[in-house]
Amino acid sequence: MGRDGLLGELEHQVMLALLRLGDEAYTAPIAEELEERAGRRTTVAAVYIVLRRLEEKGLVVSTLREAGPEGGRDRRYFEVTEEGMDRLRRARAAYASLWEGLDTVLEPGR
Amino acid sequence: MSVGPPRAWRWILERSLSDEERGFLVAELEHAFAAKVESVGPAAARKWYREEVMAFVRRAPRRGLRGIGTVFGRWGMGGWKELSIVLRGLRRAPGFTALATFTLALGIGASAVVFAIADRALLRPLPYPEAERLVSVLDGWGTSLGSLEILQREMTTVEAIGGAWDAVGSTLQPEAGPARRVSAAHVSPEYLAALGMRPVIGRLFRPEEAAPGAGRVALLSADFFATEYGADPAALGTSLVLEGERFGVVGGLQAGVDMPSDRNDLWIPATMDGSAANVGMHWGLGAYSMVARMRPGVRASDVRTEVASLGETVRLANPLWTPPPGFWNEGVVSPLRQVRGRDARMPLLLLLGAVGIVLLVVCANVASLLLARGLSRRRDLAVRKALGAGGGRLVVGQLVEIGALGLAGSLLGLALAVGGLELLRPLLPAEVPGAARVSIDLRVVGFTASVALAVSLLAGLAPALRVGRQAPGALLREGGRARSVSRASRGTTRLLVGAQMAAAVMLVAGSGLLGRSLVKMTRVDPGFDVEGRVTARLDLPPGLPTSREARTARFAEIEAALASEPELAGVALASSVPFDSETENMAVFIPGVTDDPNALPVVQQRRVSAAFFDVLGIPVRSGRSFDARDRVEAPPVAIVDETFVARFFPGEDPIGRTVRYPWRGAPDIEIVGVVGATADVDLARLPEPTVWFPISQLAGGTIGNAVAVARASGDESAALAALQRRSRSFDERMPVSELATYPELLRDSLPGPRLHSLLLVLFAGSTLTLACVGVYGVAALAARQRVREIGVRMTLGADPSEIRGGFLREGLLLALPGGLLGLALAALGGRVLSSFLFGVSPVDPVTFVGTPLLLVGAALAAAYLPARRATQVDPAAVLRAE
Repeated sequence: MGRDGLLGELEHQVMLALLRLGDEAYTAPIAEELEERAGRRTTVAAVYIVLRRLEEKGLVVSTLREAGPEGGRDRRYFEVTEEGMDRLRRARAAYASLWEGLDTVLEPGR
Repeated sequence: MSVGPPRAWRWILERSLSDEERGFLVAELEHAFAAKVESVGPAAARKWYREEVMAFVRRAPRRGLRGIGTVFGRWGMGGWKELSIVLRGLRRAPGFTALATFTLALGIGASAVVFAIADRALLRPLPYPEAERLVSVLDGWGTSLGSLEILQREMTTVEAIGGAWDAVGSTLQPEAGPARRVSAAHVSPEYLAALGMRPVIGRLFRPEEAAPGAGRVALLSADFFATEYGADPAALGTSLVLEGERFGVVGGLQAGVDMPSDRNDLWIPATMDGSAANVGMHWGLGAYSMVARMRPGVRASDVRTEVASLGETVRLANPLWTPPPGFWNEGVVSPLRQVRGRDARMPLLLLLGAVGIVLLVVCANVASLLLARGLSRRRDLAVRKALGAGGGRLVVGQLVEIGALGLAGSLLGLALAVGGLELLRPLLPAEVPGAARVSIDLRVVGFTASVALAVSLLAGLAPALRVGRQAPGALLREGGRARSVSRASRGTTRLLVGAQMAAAVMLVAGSGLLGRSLVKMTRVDPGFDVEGRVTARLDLPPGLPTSREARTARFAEIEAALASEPELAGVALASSVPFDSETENMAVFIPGVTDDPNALPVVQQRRVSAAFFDVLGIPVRSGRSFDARDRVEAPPVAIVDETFVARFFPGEDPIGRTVRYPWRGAPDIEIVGVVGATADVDLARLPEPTVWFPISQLAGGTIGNAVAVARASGDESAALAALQRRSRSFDERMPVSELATYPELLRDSLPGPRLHSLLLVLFAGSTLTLACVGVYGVAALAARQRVREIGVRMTLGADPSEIRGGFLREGLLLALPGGLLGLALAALGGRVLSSFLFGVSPVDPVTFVGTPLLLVGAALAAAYLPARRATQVDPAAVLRAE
């Protein structure tokens, strides 16, 4: 796998959170989602920096949506690109194959 | 939603973001903040917001430095972060931190003290307006008022020229209470004007106040004005009684006036009386030092030329004697700044040099400490580097570390300096100008700060750069154990330790030489018995008749009264005694020896009572001592000392020969005895030829005070108490001052040598300690790095003493080259010291053998501890740890 095939842990998690959040995928909720789901305390700044990096790599795209007529604020929403999805799939497959046969090691009771 | 995020932090956030980001991130964070307030409460939300902002701020500089970015800029923020990392690291290594801080404090403190003294004495501008226009005019001996008068009349290159005589002491009789001695300077009115002094209250002297018969007036020093009058302007117009004469107070001078000396309490006008009745005082008292203010644009060389051209006039105008040609040569004019503190210049430069060496050693020491610490932290640094900390970042970290140490060292050093100066102040010799006012002020603090900065950079830069250059991969592979310290770094360390040793040896040898001279000086035989002798100065109270007969009688009464005290086994009076604050010099005419009346020798004179030689144990070599025969009306007699005989009557018997004061009508005084030579003022100087006169005959004029010398029958302090008590009960208006035991007087006569030796010994001691710490550090590091090797060797049955021997050998090899270099330098430097040495050769064998021995011992001791620890390791534990 080439260098661009590596997904950092935070990158990986941010992209997953992005997918989970769907329409609400902008920076602050992503940070919250990470904290809630993965128990990972992080800052908006860190998430934002990761998002921008992912964007540079072409794994996510963002759009700036201006505030609607009923008020609200400008937000930059992020979406996973096809390449990003592909990368996630590969990562998942790699993990799955690594995990194969290890369930009993981690949880011997099963 | 009433609660918004903290405004200040929001402001910071806005300035950390690009325009585009600001458009949405600020709002997003605001929104998230509101949600946080709901979920975790406002306090936690604010904390969260702060952390968010800081996270953005840290990232900000990537977008360039703008707004807050310039304040919390890349290095700034990095610095803050580094600082917390550094402080944590320093806390975790208390030994290193304490050692480095203390080392820095030692060097910085020492340099602050020496700078404070040198600054006052040499560097600071004189406290007078346009001081660069001030010159000192001084002939070979000190000038008479008669000469001054001619110069004042004739000179055109100067605006004003005046003279001052720092008379040692005068008796002040307050309205109430016992009289006491004060220091009154006799100055011509032009003197104060030339210096540009301003009165704080009242006025300076008027020219007519120097005329004979003018009403007597006095000026107060700032201190005297404050302590005696509570700085109350009502002092103006009051009067004080000095030497029985009444002086009206006309003004007070500003603080910090230190001319003619910084001890002066009062200034009184010198009386310019060239009449026949006063010719002796006017032309004979060559005690005045002159200061002139040059006209604008005039150079010192112009004044020099003018004085030289007037010299012949002045020389021939002297009605008492004609000074030799060239007496008023061109060498007599020099800028005041150069003259002041001339005697203190060499010792102070020497001390500055010594302190510079100490500072360099401190640098070397801290540098090797940092290097050693860098080695033991290689893994830590390598990990940080591997995690992406740039080399620059690590260098900054190192600089922040040395900066923190430098700051701590400076603060501690300044504290040491303040304390040390308090201890040193009483020891400062009088020839150091401004000694009393030396303090750690802003100038010294500023100097200290720059020294600390320079030292920190010098010590920290090389280790810091080394850290930045290290390749993380290599370090990590080593597992941080640094099994083999790089050759370059070991070379650097050895070089540093070697340099420290060289410096230490130089200072140890130097202080050894000075210390041995001091010991030799204190062992000089002063020519009289010192033990159990006490002295005090007694001033005849004002109002007594001034006739010879009356004074002689009064002195005899005082002597008899004192002799009746059981604590005093023998009492004598003298006009001055060896090692007290006064010396009396006279030009003497010796018929048959000094044929040229224009080339008279100057000798020391003292007037003493008959018991004097006996009380002080001065041996009478031939002829007789003074006795009851030598009354006022009897033919005048004198006793000379052996030095006098050797100089003027070599191989002849002086008994029956005569001496004479050099003025017209002076009687021939018959020499009736020869006594042993006595040292005077300074044990390091050869005794001066001395003529003794009986105090009862008072040849050469009347005197107003006398020094009592006594032999204690028991305890010296009891004798001193008795001396004071009996003098007071004899006449309560009689001031008693300068109470001292003779051993004290002798010790105090060496303030300069004692101070220089003390300081040098301190410096040498600290450098040697530092150098040993250096050897210890290197040995300890080597021991740590070779734990495994030693463990293996000991498992294989090596003898621990053999391993220890190896360490000691290395320690010695580490110290020797530097030590030898230091010895060579010391031999060269001995020449610089030679003018300070007394009875000791600059390559004194004792010093030059003792120093290397001391060095070897110290180096072995420093290497022994780590060696012992190394052989005490449990080999099994070491090998397991592998």
